[in-house]
Amino acid sequence: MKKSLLSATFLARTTIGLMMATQSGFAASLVPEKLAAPSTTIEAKAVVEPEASAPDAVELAALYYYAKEGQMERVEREKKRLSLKFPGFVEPEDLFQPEPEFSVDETPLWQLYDADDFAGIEAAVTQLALDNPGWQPSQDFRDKLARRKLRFDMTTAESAGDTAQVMALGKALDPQTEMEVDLLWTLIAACRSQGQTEAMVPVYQGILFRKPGTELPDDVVMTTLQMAVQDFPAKELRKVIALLSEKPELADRMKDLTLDLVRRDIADFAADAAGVAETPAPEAVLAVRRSADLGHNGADQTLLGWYYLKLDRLDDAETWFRKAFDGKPQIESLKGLTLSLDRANKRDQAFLLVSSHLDLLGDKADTFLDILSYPFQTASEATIDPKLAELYAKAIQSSQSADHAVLIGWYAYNGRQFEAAKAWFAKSAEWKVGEDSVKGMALSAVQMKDTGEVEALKTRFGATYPQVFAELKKAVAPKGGSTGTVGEPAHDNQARYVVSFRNKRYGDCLADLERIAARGNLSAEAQLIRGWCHLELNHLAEARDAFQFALAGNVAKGDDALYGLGLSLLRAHMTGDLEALLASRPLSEARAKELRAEMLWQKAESAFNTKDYEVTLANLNARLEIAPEPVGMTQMRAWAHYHLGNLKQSRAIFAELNQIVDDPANRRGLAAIQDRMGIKP
Amino acid sequence: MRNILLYSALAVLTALASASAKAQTPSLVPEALVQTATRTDTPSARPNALVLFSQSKPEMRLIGEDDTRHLTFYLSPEQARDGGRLRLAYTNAVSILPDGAMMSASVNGHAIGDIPIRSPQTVLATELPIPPGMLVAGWNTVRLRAQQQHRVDCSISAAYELWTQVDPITSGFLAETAPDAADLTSLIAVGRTASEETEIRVITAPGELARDAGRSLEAVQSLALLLGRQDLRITFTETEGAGPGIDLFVGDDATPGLNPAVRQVLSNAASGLSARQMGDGRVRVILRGANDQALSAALVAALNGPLQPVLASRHALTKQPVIDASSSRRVNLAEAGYETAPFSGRLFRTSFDLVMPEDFYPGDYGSIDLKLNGATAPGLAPGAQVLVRVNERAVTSHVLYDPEGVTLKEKALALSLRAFHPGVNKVEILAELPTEADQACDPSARSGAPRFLLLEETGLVIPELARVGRMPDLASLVSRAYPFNHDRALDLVVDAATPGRLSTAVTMLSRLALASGHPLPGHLVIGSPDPSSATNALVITAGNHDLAMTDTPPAKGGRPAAGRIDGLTTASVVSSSATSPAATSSDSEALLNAFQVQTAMDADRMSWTTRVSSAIQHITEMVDRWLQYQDVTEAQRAIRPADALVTLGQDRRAEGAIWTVVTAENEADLLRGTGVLFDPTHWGALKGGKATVLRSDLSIITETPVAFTFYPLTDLSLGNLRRLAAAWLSDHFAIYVGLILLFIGGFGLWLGYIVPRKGVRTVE
Repeated sequence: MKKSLLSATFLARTTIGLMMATQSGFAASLVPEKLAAPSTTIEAKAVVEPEASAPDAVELAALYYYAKEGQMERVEREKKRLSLKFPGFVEPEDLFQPEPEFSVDETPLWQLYDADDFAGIEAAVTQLALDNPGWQPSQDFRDKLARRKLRFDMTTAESAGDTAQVMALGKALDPQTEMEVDLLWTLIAACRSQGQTEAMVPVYQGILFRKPGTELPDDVVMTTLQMAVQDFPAKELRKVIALLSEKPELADRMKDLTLDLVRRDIADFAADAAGVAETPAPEAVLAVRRSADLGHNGADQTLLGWYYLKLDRLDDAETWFRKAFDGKPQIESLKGLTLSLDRANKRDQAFLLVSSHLDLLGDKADTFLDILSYPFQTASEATIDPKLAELYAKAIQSSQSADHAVLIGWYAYNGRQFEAAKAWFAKSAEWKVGEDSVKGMALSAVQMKDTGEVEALKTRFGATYPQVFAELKKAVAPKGGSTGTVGEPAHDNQARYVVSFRNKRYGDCLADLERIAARGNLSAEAQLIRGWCHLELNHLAEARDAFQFALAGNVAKGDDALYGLGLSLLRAHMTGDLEALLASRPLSEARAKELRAEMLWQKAESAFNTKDYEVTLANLNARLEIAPEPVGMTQMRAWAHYHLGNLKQSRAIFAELNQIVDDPANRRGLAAIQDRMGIKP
Repeated sequence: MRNILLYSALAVLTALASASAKAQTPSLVPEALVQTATRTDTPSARPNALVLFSQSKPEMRLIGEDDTRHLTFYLSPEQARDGGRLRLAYTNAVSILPDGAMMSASVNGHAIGDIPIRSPQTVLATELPIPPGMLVAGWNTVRLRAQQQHRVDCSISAAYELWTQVDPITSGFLAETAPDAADLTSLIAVGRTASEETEIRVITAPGELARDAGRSLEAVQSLALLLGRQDLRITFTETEGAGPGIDLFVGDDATPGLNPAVRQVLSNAASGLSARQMGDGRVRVILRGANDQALSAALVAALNGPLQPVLASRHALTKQPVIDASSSRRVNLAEAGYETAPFSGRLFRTSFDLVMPEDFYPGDYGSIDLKLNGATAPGLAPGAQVLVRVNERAVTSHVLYDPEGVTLKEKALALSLRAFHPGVNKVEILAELPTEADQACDPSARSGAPRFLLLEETGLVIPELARVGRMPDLASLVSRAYPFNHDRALDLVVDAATPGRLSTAVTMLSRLALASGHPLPGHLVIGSPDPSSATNALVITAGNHDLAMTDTPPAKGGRPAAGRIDGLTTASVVSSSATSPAATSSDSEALLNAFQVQTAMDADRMSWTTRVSSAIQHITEMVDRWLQYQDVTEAQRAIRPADALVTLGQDRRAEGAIWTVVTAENEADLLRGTGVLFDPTHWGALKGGKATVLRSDLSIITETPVAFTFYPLTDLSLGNLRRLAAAWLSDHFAIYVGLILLFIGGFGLWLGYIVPRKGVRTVE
């Protein structure tokens, strides 16, 4: 019984460990592909900036000014210049009319901008626009505002711990050109928090490998490399350092990273389950030992503990973990120390250690389940500290461990607390039906003389576990004794993956679910949450699978699962599958409309890109029947008409749009139509 | 099996261990960077405090096709460490071609980026991030270089239409970290008002204006020196201001007559000098001390203590375009911040300030040699030339036209010392570089090929100067505070203790303190200056005609005073611009002038002698103006008394005291006129013996004094005496010519009359 419990726990850890090891950079490479494989260097193609097809206000400013001043010679020259730059340029109709002047001072907007008062900016812009019809903030202000808002939102999300939001916002950054490095570092930290090593790679590469002339200062590169030590194996980092060593000053500075890399080597070795990592050289270990000894460096001491544990030098491991723990009690060193003691068959010492530091466990108590279960397995007659029992119960619920739920159920049963025992056995069966949990439920019902319940259980599980019900008659009532009180499972105690999901820690959520999955099949509800976590991290295939599992498992929130599946299909642009799904499964009306509208837009866009303008219009029309049409889509509609030769219709749409919004795209459309229709402005 | 399980669990744990290990290895991680990363993570640490540039608006204007400006700002160690962004809010001339117009910025010698110049309609703010490590605690220098071309006009003169103006109110360094609210040095970042001035509001007690103003003189001057801004305006008020500026409290809570709010502020403040950021660019500065001695001691303690880095780090600034000409030497342009760069426009232009000593005597006794080193590209059109302008006037030129290009190696161009005046002189080197293609100005044929290269080895050879202080001389007053820049006491006289008069007086005093580089020992006097005192005085009057400056008396045997030569021409000049009600007011002089213009006799009807006399007079004036580097309009413009808004002049009194007097009809005129006079653009350009702000168009007319009085000579060396004699004779060319004629006549007499009669004794 004891062995089987430990095995289950460790099996779960194995899976997580392997997953983490894979995600920790063995699959991802920091070195840009073209640098990693010089033989296949791709010649850079000149990127041609798309030229604006019509002059903007700055280009036209002098033309209006010269006209106003009556400098006709300059007017002609400026027109010639504009015609050269913008083929098809036509003289503005209002050139010699008084130009609309907006002498709007944007200083108040900038002051609000400095104060990060975005609501105030919105109000001020509205007021200024009301006071100055036709005015809108300068392009520069709009650009800067968007930028500032991005920074504000990222830092706010980051301080609120919403790392998923940080990652979502970080997509607006271009790591290759971004000069505000702290934002990139924030993004890296968010990716790390979500366990998204792959997502970190372009960010790191953007900082470390820039085009000549745009490189970041050496201080930034060094700090970034130091961060990368956490996320990538030392082998990978050495490649990066070799590439960056072309700069002599930087090469000199990067020598300071040697000790960090040695630490990473030792960590990789200690964590290497597959046995492929090289054993660190004795000199390297000595360097870390020196640091651990001289600097009383707790982290190095803990690292050495893991290293010796890996080498099965249990005494050394215990010594280093204990040094670290005595220096500053931390959960990592406690974990190492208990493992060392456990492996050295000093389980009682391990339990004493953990039980005397229960406050330290916090929400990580479930990782100590095996040690916490020690008195429940060995001392059925002894009284257990109620605090320990409570923590154990909470940890069981947090980890949804069916085995430990059975264990605590037996403890309650033996102490004649049949209600609590029945509840724990039922909880265990809810997570994973097994012989023990069924037997526990049946015995509890017998002791409670609840024959109806016994019959119900027999009906439900009799075919699967006949021996359980066969042995019921022989069962002897427990004697009871001095066992402590065991409470029933708390109803509001959510599983850890649910807490992680609610806190938008999607990486943690998946890790929690994987841990549970390692002990058995996930419930349909868990699959639903798994689907959302994958979807948030843009793992579309995994999300689809999870939602489908949830649907197959008849999840209670079937509409949610179907909606999630629809969203994951949409994101993958699988409009055909989505159409089939919507046709085959019922979905709530609002959600169905939302998915269908988005699907039709994707189909219209796809058709437009392939110049199938009739299909474009058909999809837009279908969409218009179920949802209002934004300006951008109407512009696409107008262009589709234009390409189909429906010039009058196209012109009417552009003209109408031009009345509603001031957008140069509308004017360009009108100009193109007039040009094609031979209408001179 | 169990081993495998165990090791797998390590993967999670070792990552954490490695993270912790890194954090605890301070030698590997630059502490400043780690702190930067963590500080910027929290929104509360990102107040984005705007640190303004010290320079005033005129110093932020980039003119022509290629111009450079150096701007400075001060950072605390925390701000320098945490970094930030450079904000450049600017507007530009509408004629600037948007394609390729670029403003390049560098900070402390590190390039941080370019911004396109594209904002002819409104002020456009752009920001450039400054990577960590480029900033220093203390003063930082931003070098801005604008490269801009005309849209449609390729003529040389069109290059003058190109300008980009950086906004002094919203531009600066946007710090990630706000300074400590109580940090004294943070007052350097005080904001500017909407009128682009830095305002220091001295808070006074009701009815105790004179007392409080007198007490504040040292503090105000010290603040002016710390700020180093040319756009300072000092005002006196009984309540704190609401907008940007410094609210200065001086005194102690025990001082009688204080209003409760001021007493509260003073009682809550620590002894000595303290400052507190009040937000919105406003700083409250409190100098708390029980008496004048305590106030002075507190000020000295602060200047030698927390404010010492502000003053001390100024010398660490990168090169500024200023050359000190107080000693004979050669100075290369590189020393004035000029950097060699090929120029591809039509009008090359670089400038610097040449600072002459305050007792420099201008004259034609020598020249400053400009040693040109550079080259032109082949293909320039006729008309290519180098021009040198001193104080906006062309002094010399050199033709550059050669179809195969010109190479200049130490080519000397003499800049006569008469073109300079004591104090700051603006020297511009211009190269007009037309090509044949410029005639057509075809936009499709624009070329970016370089036309000119001026090497930074180009230098100025400064000779020994004739040194004697003279009066009146507004140029030496405004640029060196001469004669107040010594430790002699100075009476600051206002005819009545009103806020406007005191504002003018103390603003001017702070300007002079800036010019001299130290606070002036001013003593406030309400009333009239003491005529029997030998103490120099700065006198501010409004409506006190007794103190109004009298016109400088005609020099004995000197030339007639400028502006009185040709009343007819003067009248026509005035009438042409007389559009304001004041200018069209009934004025007998104007009527007389108009009558004379209308009734003027045709030249051919005048007598022969009158015509010859007029011609001689005209030629004399022309030569005189040429010698004095004067413009025709300036020499001839006269001022009607009713059109004079404010007058600034200097007068030497019988006891040897120098009175520098600012006069106006009333306080409103005084404030309006000094507002123009104190404008940094105008203040630095004052010269001559008297300056008048005109009521009609708010222009400033400076008058050359007809005679000077000289201070006692301090340099009695033979060389200086020789140079002074030469300078004096160059000023009095008639005497010089007379002496030459006398010597020639004497020699002729000796040769033609005496020698034949007396014979020649030969030695046998």
